[in-house]
Amino acid sequence: MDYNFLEVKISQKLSDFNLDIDFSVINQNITVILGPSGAGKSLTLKSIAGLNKFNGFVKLYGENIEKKPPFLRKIVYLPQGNSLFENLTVYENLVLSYRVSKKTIDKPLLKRVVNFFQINNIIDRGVKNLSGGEAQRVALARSIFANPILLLLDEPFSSLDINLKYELIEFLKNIVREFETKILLVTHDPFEAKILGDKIIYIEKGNVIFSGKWNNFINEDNKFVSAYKKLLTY
Amino acid sequence: MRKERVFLTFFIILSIIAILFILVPILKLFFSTSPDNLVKILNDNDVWEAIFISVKGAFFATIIGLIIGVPLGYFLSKSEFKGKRLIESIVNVPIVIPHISVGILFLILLNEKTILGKIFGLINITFVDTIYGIIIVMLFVSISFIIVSALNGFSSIDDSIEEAAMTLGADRAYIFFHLQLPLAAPAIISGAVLAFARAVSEVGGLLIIAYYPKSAPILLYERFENYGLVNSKPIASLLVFISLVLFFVTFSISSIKLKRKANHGL
Repeated sequence: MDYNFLEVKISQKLSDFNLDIDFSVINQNITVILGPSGAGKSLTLKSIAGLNKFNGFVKLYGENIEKKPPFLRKIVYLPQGNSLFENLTVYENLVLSYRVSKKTIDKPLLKRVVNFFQINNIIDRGVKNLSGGEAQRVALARSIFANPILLLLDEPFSSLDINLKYELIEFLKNIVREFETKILLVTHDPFEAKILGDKIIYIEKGNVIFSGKWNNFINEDNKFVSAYKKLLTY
Repeated sequence: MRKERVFLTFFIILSIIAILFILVPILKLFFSTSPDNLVKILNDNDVWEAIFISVKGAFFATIIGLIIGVPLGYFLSKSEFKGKRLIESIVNVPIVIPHISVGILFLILLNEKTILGKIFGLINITFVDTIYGIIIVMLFVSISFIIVSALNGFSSIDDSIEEAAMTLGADRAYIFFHLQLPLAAPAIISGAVLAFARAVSEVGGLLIIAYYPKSAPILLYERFENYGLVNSKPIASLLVFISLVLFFVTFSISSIKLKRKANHGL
């Protein structure tokens, strides 16, 4: 029997609204959760990662994982902003998931990851001394080296200038090809969603308003889409 | 432009007054102590014994403060619950209680006739006029510095670090000992240094519960009472000097960064 890659049903009472999220990802490589600020996007991501308690389920290839602790889900969550461990070097950040589980470090994979993210020359540096782009590449490398089935990215472009944004978009597109990891990415920026999303899930006030391809999303009749279209006319 | 200059000048003058306020009394003490009297004091065994008692008491008070204060600071920084503000206020209570009262309240709580006093008595620990009494009073007057600095240190660490680490396989204990504690360490060490300094300088509480064994400030007080200013000045100079040395040495040690050797074959 063929299962969907990911199925999510989340119910949670919040102070402003009820989070009531229901969507699935069949086999798309990059799915983008799009929506205005405060719509419940980040909480959805944290719920999938096992960092937020809710009613409902999360299924990965048909298997219920909502009761599993975060580290047994084969899902890695990269929060917004800099989540590198400042007391460690780049290398120590990279291998943290192996050290925690006392696994032998997969050297061939490590070399592939280090080369792919072009961090060879900064591998021994303390992460405090990295530029914004380097820090984001190291954070992604650390996540990929943990070998997840699903990578959750919360607003990964939020603090990057346009050059670094472009660089990171290229990396993300190549990650799914190179490492067989699927990505679920949260953003409030429709341009990022258009460029990256094989599938768009649009959320407003805790509800999924649209789920499908970008080309269909821009035909939707809502404030978010019309604001996007108006921006394009400038 | 002129207004700005007046404002800056005014602030610089006030800042200089603040620095002088701290430095002048200390320098005056050093310069008014005769070298002969200082040498006499350096050969006085009672003085060294009292200094040893003070340092020993403050050391154990700081260690115990770290063991019980850091978890509380961590807990307060990472959780939200009803009554949290109240607990945060309680943490600062030792700073506002008059120090003589601290001695009295521990004398009431821990004398040999109380239940707690009897329980400790079973393991041969009594608090009146013992090193344990000194440690307990020093702990009380200094622990707030450790808890508050730990709270501030842990609060300054972004929660996203914990979240990212959890999905990378780390449990809470690993995250605490390997990621959060090292990141909060500079703040905690600063708090511990302040706590140690506060403990070493305690007099009021010790006068009540543990006059003996004589700690350094008690000895100084006693010499002043019995022999006057001239004879107590050299001890005061020595104590201030030792306090300053200990303070700067501890701060220097805490700022040393260990270099790690790369050994990953990449």
